[in-house]
Amino acid sequence: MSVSVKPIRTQADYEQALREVATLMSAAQGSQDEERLEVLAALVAAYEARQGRPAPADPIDVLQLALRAQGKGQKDMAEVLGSRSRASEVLSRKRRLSADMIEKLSTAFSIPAHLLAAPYEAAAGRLRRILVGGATTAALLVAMGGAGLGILFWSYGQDLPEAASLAGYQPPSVARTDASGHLVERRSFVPLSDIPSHVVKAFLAAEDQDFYDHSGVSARAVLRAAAQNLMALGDNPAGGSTISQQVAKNVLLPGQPRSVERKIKEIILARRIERNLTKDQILEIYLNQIYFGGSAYGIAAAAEAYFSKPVASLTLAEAAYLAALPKAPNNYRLDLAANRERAKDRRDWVLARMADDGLITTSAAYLAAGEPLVQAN
Amino acid sequence: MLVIGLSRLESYWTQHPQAEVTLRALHALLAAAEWVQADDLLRQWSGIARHEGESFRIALDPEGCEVWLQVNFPLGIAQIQAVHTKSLQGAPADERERETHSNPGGLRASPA
Repeated sequence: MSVSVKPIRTQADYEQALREVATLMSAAQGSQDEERLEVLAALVAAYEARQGRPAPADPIDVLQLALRAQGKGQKDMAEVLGSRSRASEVLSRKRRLSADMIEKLSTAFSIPAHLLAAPYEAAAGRLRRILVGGATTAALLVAMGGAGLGILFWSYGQDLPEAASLAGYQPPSVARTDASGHLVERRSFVPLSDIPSHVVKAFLAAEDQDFYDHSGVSARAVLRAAAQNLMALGDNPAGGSTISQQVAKNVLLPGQPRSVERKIKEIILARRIERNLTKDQILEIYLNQIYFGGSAYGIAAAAEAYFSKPVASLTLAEAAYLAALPKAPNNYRLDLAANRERAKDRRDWVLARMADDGLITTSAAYLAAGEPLVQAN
Repeated sequence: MLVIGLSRLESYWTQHPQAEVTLRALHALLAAAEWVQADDLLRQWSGIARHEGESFRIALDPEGCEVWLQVNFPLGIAQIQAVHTKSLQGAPADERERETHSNPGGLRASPA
């Protein structure tokens, strides 16, 4: 006996098949109608599967419906699980169904175990909800902040001076006077190789301890500056600028007033400088470019102005004093008597920092700190 | 059991979303059932009503609906024939609607 049925390809075929199935549902066993019903039902089921299988039912919904269907409730479930609170927590999704619970419930209420073992969403506890909500909000804020910062940096990154041009830059040697013949700017270029290592170390300790480790911006320096600013409550704020940032500020962005915009540009340019110049090139530009107070620009002019000697002859104490100057040159000028004690404190701080960083011995720092700080005539 | 007529459930819960989780659970329970005769079904579902032949009505009061089901136990086939909204009085709203439409003018006859 063969059964001839039309394949189900359309919704209309499907509806027609359902109607025919309904008429065949009470077909006698072993009849041709029963055979036809079996084939049609299989075709209908296959068509429904092609339309998209229903999502797996939620185990707790299944459990609740099965209890309802059998006229049972939470009390019966509590008896099976041996605990009222456990039953309540399971039904309110505060507790997940364990393998043991699934086995007990499946046996007691004739619910196929696989229906109860399907994954489902448990209710989040209050603390968990707060933590998850807080973490999500924080992540969103960080993402938005990151995106905003990215856009800000991209926008400020346009139309900046060419950092690569610094590769061939050498701070010029100048001696400029004003109309009345007073020296207003003096600079003598000195190559890095002619600058003693203790002088370089004094500047690294005072200005940029991580100079040889960072790529233009030092997170450690920024955090330290932020902590200092917090403790000082904004009084005389620390900048956290690296030597590369200071080169960017003094050479590529001269004369720009202090602002957030300038800070961002400094950061962008510092990173570009680091990509185009070696650390020694950057350090050489820095030491020859920066302002030391009075008319002194660059380390050579500063050594002459304050100690009447070439850079190569600077002592450790003198180098530490000069390294203290770039932060606030006119606050530490020795030609003003009011500055001298403050200048010595600052010099000694540089010496202590050099010792802390392992750049000099503690005894060398102690001996240098014992030297008087006087300006040569 | 091989459950067919899923479209009846879907079309109902599309219009009555509050019934979706229960209807999905019902479908899952039907599909996993291994009833070989009507008594198995009646024993397990106390809230089920048997009508002529192997036709059954499952009342889902909290969801305000009832599911009509026809089962061929020897073949293990269950066909969901319809899902009706239940009226507050207990009669399916669809039936009341049919009664209303049978009156001239489409209005329900006055109780008076």
